[in-house]
Parts: sequence; C-alpha cells; structure tokens
Amino acid sequence: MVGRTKKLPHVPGEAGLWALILPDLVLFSMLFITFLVYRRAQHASFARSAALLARNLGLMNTLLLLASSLMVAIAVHRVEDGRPGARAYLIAAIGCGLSFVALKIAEYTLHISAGITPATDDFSMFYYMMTGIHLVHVLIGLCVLVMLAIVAGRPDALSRLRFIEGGACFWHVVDLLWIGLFALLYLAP
Amino acid sequence: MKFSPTDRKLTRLWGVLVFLTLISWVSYDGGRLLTPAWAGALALALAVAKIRIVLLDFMAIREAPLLLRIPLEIWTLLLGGILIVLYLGAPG
Repeated sequence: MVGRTKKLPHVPGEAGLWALILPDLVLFSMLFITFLVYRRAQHASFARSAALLARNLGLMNTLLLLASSLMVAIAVHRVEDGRPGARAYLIAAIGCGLSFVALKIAEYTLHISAGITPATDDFSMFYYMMTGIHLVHVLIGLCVLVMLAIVAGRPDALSRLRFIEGGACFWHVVDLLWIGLFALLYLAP
Repeated sequence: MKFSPTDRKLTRLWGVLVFLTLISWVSYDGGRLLTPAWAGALALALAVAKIRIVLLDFMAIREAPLLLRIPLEIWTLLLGGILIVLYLGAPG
C-alpha cells in the first residue's frame, strides 16, 4: 500500500476475494445507471423526493466511513510493518461502522415516521433498495472487521497478512460504494 | 502510538477525501456559484475522484498487477462518464 519501499506488484488480499468484489462493483454500477435512467423520465418527482432526505445524516455517515477506511488502511500497514496498534485502529474503525448503522437506522425511522416508504415513489424505492443493500454490506463488513481485529492482535498476525488485506479491501469497497450513493442520492437530485 | 511516514501519507489522503466531500456539500448548498444541475455533476465527478483515491491508495490497487489495476481504472472512468452524461442529460 502507500509508502511501501519494495514495489513488487501483488493483488491485495486473496485472489478469490476479487471474484466477489468485482461483481459487486458491477452490480452497484448497474443500480446507479438504472437509477439515473429512471430519473431522466421522472426528474421533477426525483428532485422533490431527494429534497426530503436527511442530508446532514448522509454527510455524517460519509465522514464516518471515510474515517473508518483511514483507520483500516493504517491498521493493515501496522501489521505489515510489524508495528503495534493495528488492533486499536481496527476497533476504532468498528466504532465508526457501528455509528454508521445507528445513524442509518435513525434516518430510516425518520423517513418512515414521515410516511416515506419504498412504496411512496420510484425515488424512495431506489433509496431504500440501494441503501438497504449497502447496509447489508456494512453489517457483513463489521463482522469481517471483528475477525481482523482478533487476528491483528495475535503475535503471528504478519503470517495472516493476505487475509487482513482482503478483509480491509472489503471494508474499503463498502466505503467507496457509499461515496457513490451519497453523491447520487443526496447531492445530485 | 507513533505515526510513520505511511500513516501520515494515508492521513493526508483522508484529508483530501474529506475536503472533496465538503466541496460537493458546499456547492450543493451554495446555489449561487453553480446551477443545481452543475452542482450535482460536480458532486458526481468529485465522487469518482474519491473512489479512485480509495481504490488506488487505501486498497493498494496502485501496486496491483496491471491486469487488475487497468480494468478498475477503466471502470472508474467509464462509470463516472456514464453517470455524469446521464445526469446532465435529464430534462431540467
């Protein structure tokens, strides 16, 4: 990763993991494109519904995931370099992830109590579907981070570097998908 | 816990990610410098730039074999282009 001195190309994580990550990226790309195709046909309705989103919560969630990604990246380097502190960074990242889930639940509650459900209109259907699929990724990612935190605290953590890199990559995918969702749903009505 | 040069570099990149997020936020709220359509297009372009930073530097794709890096670079560019064209193509 950043700052390595020896630059032998290598696939981060185990190669099989990319067989999961790449189709996931394609799936979300198709969802993003489909969303915008629908938006072309219903521009005014999409803009009206997007204006009802809790944008402050969206921003806070973005900042939380960006912070968690930084912590996970630092943790991987600490394992790689044999420096202490990886587990603490991963626990901090888990804290950010849990805060994301709490805010997302608060946001859903807010919308549902205002009568905005997936059946309200096409924008709401896309909003719940895309953020819901993403939330499942966050929950899976949190389980992965817990496993990484356990492994990263062991004396033989370096021997599990591939596993740690792979788990970290999955979490970064969770972050980058949210970056796209945040722009599309909250900032580009 | 001491910060290494790598930790500092990653933290600087995180600062860039936060900065780009805030630019897209301000451009949406401002409404004076940009029309809503262009503010939205800017947010999408900045999102693509942020995704590229996460891919290349946080996920270490910069150091991956070209067989993995090139398709991901093409995907980022292509997705960004398609999204912005579709977004701006919608009737205002």
